[in-house]
Amino acid sequence: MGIDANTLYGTLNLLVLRALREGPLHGLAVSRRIEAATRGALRIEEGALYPALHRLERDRLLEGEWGRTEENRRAKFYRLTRKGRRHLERETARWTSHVTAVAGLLDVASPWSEA
Amino acid sequence: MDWRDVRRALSPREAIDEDVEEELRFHIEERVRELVSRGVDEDAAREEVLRKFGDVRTVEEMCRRLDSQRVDDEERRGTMEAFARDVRLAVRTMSRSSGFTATVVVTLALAIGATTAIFGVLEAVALRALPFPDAHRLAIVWQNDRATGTVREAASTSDYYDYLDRSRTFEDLAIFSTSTAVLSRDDAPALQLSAVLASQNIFSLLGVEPRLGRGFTEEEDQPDGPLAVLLAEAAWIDLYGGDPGIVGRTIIVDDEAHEVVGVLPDEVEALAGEADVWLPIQQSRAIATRPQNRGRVGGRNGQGLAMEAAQAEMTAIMADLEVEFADDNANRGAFVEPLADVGRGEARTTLWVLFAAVLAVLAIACVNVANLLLARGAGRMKELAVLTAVGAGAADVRRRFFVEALLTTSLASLLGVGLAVVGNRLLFELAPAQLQALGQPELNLPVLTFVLGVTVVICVGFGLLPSLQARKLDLQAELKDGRTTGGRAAGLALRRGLVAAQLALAVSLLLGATLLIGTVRNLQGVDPGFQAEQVVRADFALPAGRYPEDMSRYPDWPEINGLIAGVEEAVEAVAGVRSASIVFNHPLDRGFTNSFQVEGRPYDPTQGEMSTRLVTPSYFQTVSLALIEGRTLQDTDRVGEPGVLVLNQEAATRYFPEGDAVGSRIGFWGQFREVVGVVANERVHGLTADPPPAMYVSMYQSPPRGGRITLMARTEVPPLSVAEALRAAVHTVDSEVPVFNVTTMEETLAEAMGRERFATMVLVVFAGVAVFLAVLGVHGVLAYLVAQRGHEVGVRMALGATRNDVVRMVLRQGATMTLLGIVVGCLVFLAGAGLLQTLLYGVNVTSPGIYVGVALALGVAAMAGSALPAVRAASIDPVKSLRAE
Repeated sequence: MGIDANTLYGTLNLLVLRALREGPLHGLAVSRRIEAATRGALRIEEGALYPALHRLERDRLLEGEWGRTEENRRAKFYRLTRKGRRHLERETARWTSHVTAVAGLLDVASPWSEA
Repeated sequence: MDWRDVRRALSPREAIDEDVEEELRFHIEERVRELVSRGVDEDAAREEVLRKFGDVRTVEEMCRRLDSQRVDDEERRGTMEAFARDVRLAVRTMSRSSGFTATVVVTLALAIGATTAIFGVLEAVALRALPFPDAHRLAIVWQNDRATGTVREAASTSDYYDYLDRSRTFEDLAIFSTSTAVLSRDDAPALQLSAVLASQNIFSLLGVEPRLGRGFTEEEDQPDGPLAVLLAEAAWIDLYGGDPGIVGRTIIVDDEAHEVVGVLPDEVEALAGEADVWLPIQQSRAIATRPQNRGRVGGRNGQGLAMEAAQAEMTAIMADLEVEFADDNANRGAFVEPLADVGRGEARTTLWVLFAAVLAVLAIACVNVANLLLARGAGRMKELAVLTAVGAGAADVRRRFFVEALLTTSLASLLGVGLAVVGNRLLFELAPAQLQALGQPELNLPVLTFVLGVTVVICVGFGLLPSLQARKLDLQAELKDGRTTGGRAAGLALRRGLVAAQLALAVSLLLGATLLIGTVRNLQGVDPGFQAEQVVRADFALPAGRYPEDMSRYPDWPEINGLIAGVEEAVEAVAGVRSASIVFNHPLDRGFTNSFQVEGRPYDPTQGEMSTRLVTPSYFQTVSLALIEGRTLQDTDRVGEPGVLVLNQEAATRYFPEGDAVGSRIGFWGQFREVVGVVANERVHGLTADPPPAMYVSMYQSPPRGGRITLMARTEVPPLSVAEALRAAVHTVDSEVPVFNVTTMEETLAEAMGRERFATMVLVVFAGVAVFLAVLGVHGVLAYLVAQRGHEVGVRMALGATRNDVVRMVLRQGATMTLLGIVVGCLVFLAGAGLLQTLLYGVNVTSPGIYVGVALALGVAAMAGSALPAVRAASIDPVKSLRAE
């Protein structure tokens, strides 16, 4: 497994990809989804989200496309590519096993373990 | 779809700034609207949102950079994808018209294959550097004889030591000669070996290190020095299985024990051809003699000195020697020839001629393919027009053509290289032995570079051609009805020009082939002076130990005379043999020459030397050499009887213009001999050289010295059928004498014109292919013309033109191209005929008959090629053709 120096970056990327799993969203919606899902536990500077989105787009994990919001405003929507979906699955598995291992080490009951 | 989406798709790079700015603004404005809707004051809301967002500029900057990286990636991927798409498209286009593709690929592959094969031989024989360090400084110092006009003669050992003492330009000089040696073996019959005798400094001079062991020492090179031998690598492997323990072993060479001191690498062959063993020449100043010219002198020119300097110096040295030793050195000069040129001059000419010819074939093949491409290009104009109409740029169209050209030529080149490998082998098999000895063609870096160069040139040419044609495309006209447009008319003019060029090249090749055929016919018509039919020859060698050459008793050598007489008798007893003779040199072997003196006249050093032919008396009968005056040699002319000789006609008329040759006495080898007869001239210097003055001396009065002698027999049965019987007959006399080089005189005669026959054979094939392709070209262009002008022909016929008029119109088109081609071809050939000149014999390059003949032949062929399209044009139904409108 191994934790690398990019863990934090990696976490944000993972959260972004996870946020987009159910369908395309624009940047603001991604930001809201993460905020809601983490219940504010992981507060990120909102601006930091955009370089992450663009990096994922560059790495072809996401695809950006301009579209219209429900209020008919133009916004850039991001969609998971097939590559992005695979990446999300792989990284989720990695993250899970990482957490399980650390949790075991720290003697914390893992939420996934059959306690 | 927003206009910005279009823009983003068309020029993604320019959209980046706007996109990023708009995306971030949306985020901020939405957040502000959110707060405002909850009742926050707008300014305060904006301040709060911006605080939570972080530094907008930094984020913007990061996003822009990431986006531009993304666009870079996309473009790179786009190019690759476009190329892959082009290749797929090209493969599809090519396989859709598989007949066309196959024609183009096969035509090019054959032409590239032939060109590469010839280039391979050219590279091996003429261009490849000798395998010695600084090989350009190596030269052979030949002597020439102004009286006889011979060049490339050996030097005497005394001359060699004089060169060594006097030359300042040569760093070092070595003397060597080729010879034979007999290897005796315990477990197998004695073996005849080829040998090189050389002074011990030869290896340092060449810059060759023995592969095993060492070279010769100075002591071993002294007369009566320790007997040492070096094995050639090939002989070491063949005879001793490459045993590294061979060094230090003793082997029996010429009946004497020699120590094997080393093994020489194959590279030394570049000096004097293949040899099995090398022996020290064992000469010294003390025993050096002047009258006999025994060895070739090789020299290494000083660093940075031109060969001209060496030539000038050697000329001066020879001039001094002429004064100092007037008797022996009269008329003798020096000829310094770079080692790389030795034996290659003629082969080089032949191969450059063939290379020029094959380039012409390649050019003709390319023109044919170009014509095919142009014809198809015209047919594809509609496809291109559609492509252009839907927005394909000129660059896209060009790229498509290039990819097609690239695939076609690469495929053709690969096939061509394969063909070249086969062709090389075939050419090499067909090549005369002299040429084969100069180097084996291989698929090496220079050859592959050549193929690559040819491929690139063809590929670029064919890639550009359709683009040039497409540039003249008239979109509207093409899309409307696809009839004649400017592009086609211009293409047609180009194609006519190309066909004329093709015909011109074919004419040149045909002229060359005709002259060479004439040459070979002339050579075959040359009377060599003897009758080669039904004569077989074989060489055998005398081991010096059992056949002692005791100079104090010469010419009374009963052992050798006994062997000769015994062999002759045994061979004559073989069934099917009518007459047998032993000779020192067969009739096409130039042999050696001797200076001489006519009794009663003062010695004239300027009279030159006579070719000296040692033969047994039955020789004249065996080769059917005609007696002109007096008698031939007889069995009674033996040791102890008065010395006699027979002159050839050339010697008789040159030295006895009064007709008093018979009865005169000629002195050489310390004895005067009476001229008893005159015989016809044999062309011992080759078929194209004038026969030299010659004298025939009986072996029984002057036994041969030095190893190899030749047995000749005239048979009543196919000559080679007695080969085994000959060997057996020799072995009944001495079972230890190796018999080798069994062949017929007819074969030897054919080999004497091997170079001309080889060049002729190859050139005739090339000329045939060239004419075929050129006629195909004429036909193609005219057929295309008729197809294009069908409508015009219809109109003409409707207006009263007869079918004859139409046929005449088409034929006139063909005749114009043909005439232009023939005239240009003749001029081109005349300009380049100098290259061919040295290959020709008895034919005149400027004789008008040949030009008329070739022009007529090609004219008829071209008209035949024009006839089919003409007939087709005449059969056009004007009504149908006009209705098709």
